[in-house]
Amino acid sequence: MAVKVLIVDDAMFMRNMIAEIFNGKKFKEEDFQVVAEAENGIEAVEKYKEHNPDIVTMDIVMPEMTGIEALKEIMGLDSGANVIMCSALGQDSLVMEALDAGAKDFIVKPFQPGKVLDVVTRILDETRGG
Amino acid sequence: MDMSKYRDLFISESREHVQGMSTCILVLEKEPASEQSINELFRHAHSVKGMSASMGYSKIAELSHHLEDMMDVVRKGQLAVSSSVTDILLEGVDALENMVDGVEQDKNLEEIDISSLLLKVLNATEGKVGAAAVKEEQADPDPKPGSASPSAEAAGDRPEVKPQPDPVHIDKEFHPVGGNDLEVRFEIAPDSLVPAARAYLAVKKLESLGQLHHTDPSVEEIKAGNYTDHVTAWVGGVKKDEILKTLQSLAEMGQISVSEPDSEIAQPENSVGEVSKPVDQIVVKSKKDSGPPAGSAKTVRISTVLLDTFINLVGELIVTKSRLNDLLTGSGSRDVDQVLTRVDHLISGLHSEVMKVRMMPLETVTQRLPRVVRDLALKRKKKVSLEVIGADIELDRAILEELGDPLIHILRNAVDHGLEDTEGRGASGKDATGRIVLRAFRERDMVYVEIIDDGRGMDLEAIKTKAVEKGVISRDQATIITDEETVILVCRPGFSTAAEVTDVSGRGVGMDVVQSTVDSLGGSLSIESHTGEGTTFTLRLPLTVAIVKMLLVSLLDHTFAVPITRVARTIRITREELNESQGRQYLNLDEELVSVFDLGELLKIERHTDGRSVFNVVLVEATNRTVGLVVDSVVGQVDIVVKPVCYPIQYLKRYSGMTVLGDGRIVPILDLGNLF
Repeated sequence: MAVKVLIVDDAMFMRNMIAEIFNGKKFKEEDFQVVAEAENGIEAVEKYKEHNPDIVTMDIVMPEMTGIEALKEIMGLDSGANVIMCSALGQDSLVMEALDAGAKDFIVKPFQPGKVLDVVTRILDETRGG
Repeated sequence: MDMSKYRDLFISESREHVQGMSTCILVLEKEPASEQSINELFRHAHSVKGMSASMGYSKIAELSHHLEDMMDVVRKGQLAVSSSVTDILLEGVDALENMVDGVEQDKNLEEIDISSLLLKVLNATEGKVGAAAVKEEQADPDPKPGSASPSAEAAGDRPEVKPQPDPVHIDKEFHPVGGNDLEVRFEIAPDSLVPAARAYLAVKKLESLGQLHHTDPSVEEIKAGNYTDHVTAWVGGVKKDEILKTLQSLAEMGQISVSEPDSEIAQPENSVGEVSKPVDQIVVKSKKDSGPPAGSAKTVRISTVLLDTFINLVGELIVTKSRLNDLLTGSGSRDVDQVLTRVDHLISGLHSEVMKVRMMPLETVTQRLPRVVRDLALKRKKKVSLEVIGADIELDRAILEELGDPLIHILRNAVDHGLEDTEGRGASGKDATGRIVLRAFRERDMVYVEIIDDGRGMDLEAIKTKAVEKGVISRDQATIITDEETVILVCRPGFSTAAEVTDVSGRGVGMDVVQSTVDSLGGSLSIESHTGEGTTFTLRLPLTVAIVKMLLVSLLDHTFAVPITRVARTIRITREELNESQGRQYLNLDEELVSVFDLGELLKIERHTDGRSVFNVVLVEATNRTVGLVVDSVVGQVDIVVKPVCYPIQYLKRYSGMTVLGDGRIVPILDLGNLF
C-alpha cells in the first residue's frame, strides 16, 4: 500500500518541488506516491475522481478554477477528502476561507519539507485513527 | 533541500509569468476594467512570489509580493486602473525581468535598487486602501457595545464581539465565575508565516470539540488577520485532555494551556519540544536521499545547451553517415547495403524527432512586441495598434533567438518613419490610429513573417538621393534602378544613419543587420512599399537552421554551398539566351528579366568561360528579386551542419558560414545577401 498524493499547482516548479518532498518518504510503513499532478482546479477535480488520492496538496491561486473552488467541488464529491492548501504569505483570508470550506490544513510557501511532511503526517494520523 | 537544480526552471517559468504580466498590463491599458486581465495579473505576480521565495530570492519575492497586493486592491475595486497604475505595473515588470536576468547571470540581486519602485507600488496600494478602509468604517454606524454581546448562545455560533479597550473585563463579564467552561490559552509558533490562519484553524478545531463560547481576540478579528501573540478561548462540554491532544496535533503550535474554571494558575503544557522532534528527523532524512522527484510529470524542461548538443551530435552523425556511404557504396555486399539503409532510416528518424523538440512558437518572440510598440508610440506621441496573427506558428529555437532584434527594428522603423502622426493621418483621410499587423504563416517548409503598416510608404526619390549621397550607388545607377531595387537600398550597409539605428540590448541594429541576419538564417527579406498606403516587410524563413539542406556547386576544384531554401531551380542555358545591357547580363525567363552573375567573377576566381556555349545557372532568391548564378557544375544536395566561424574568417562578407563534408572538406556557404 502506498499513500496516494495528488499535487495541484499551476507552476511546474512548485509541482516538482512538492513531489521531491514526498519522494522516498513514508507514512509509517507506507510509501508516499505522487499518483497525479494537476495544473488547475478543473484538472484537480478530474484527477481526484480518477485516482481517489489520500492527500491533495492544493494551490490556491490558479487559472481556470481556483484552488478554493476545486476544494469545494472535491468536498462535494468526498466529504472525507484530505485537502491541504498551499498558500503564500499574505493569504490568510483565503486560507481561512478554504478552512471553512473543508480544507484539513495548509502549508505556506516557501515550503519547508519538514513542515509539509509534518502537516501531512498529522492529518493521516487523525483520519486513519493513528 | 538543494534548490540549485531548480534554478533554470525558476528562470524559465518566472519569465513566462513576467511576460504574462506584461501582456495583461497592455490589455488593461486598453480595457481598464478587464476582470480577466486583472485576475491573471494577480496570479502571475503570485506565482513569481511563490517561486522566488522558495528559491530564496527575497528581492524578487518582495517586489512580486507588493505587486500582488496592488493587484489585489485593484481586484477588489479599491483602486481603478489608470495610466499611472499601468505605468507603475510596467515598471514593476521591468524590474522583475531585470532581476530574473540577474539570477541567470549570477548577479548579486542585493545590488539592484528597487526601493523607489517599491515606494511607488506601496503608495499606489496603500493610498487607495486607506481611503477605502475609512469608508468601510464610516459605513458601520453601530459598533455594538460589549454588553449586548450575543455570546452565550448555542454551540457553534460565532460570538460577535467588537474590539474593546480592555477585553479582559468584558470576558469576565460574560463568562461568569462557576461556569463549566475551560479556559484555553494557546500560542502559535513564532516562526509561523501565517499565524492568524493557524490560530483560526485551532479555533475551528476547538469549535468542533465542544461549545466555543468566546475567544479573545474574537473569531472575526482572527479572520481579519488580528492575531498578535496568543488566543484565549472558553470552551464548554469537552474534557481538558481532549483539548490538549487536539491542539497539540496541530502544526506550528506554541505554548498551550488549559485551565479549569476555578483554578487560578494555568498549567502550561509543553508542545513545541515534543512535537517538533519527529519533524527534525524527517528533515534529516530528506537531506540524505536526494533522488529525482517522483516521476509522474508529463513534461520535463531541459536545458537548451543540452538540446544544442543533441542536434550537433545528430548533425555529425549525418555527416559521418554520408562519408560511410561514400566509402561503402558499391562494396558489392548486400548485407552492407541493407545495414546502411537501416542506419539511414534511423538517423533521419532521430533527426526529425530532435528537430521537433527544438521547435517553439513564434509567440516566444512576438509576445514582447506589443510592449515595444506601445512604449515607442508613447514617446513619438502617435497612436499605434499592433495586431499579431499566427503567433502559434513554430520555428527552430535558433531562428527565434535571432529574430527578436530584426522584428523590433522593423517595428521601430514603422512607428518612427512609416506611420504618420495623428494630424498627418487625418490629412490623408486615415484613421487616427496607425495600424501595424504582424502576420506569420507557413508555406511548405518556409515560414513567412510579414510586418505590414498602413503609413505613408517609402519615398523612393529620397532613398535614391540619400543612397547617392552616401556613395551606396552611383548617380547613373540611380537613374536606371527599378522601384523594387530602390526600396531594398535601405538594407545596404552604410545607408542607415546613426539616428535610424535601433539600440537593441546595447548594440546598434540597422536594416543592413536585419537583412544579414535573415540571410544568415537561410531566409530572405523583401520589401514592398506603396506611396501613401504603407510598407510591407516580408521575412521568408526556413523552419530550421541546425541541419540544413544545401545545394553544392563547383567552380574549378572549389566547392560552395547554397542554402536550398534560397534556390528556386537550376537550369542550363545557351550563350544566345544571355542578353547584355549596360554592362549587366540578363536572361529572359518567363517574360521576366533576371540578372545573371558569374560566380567566378563575383568571387574573383579566374577561369576561362569564353569557349563555352552552355552554362549551368542556379536561380536563387536574393533580396526582392531572383538572380541567376553561373557555376561550372551543380554537384548535388547534402544535409549539413552549419559551423560557426570565428575571427578573422567571419569578416569574409561573401560567406555566411562554413560546413564540413563527410570526407573532411571544408565548404564555404555563400551569403546571397552580400554576394551581388
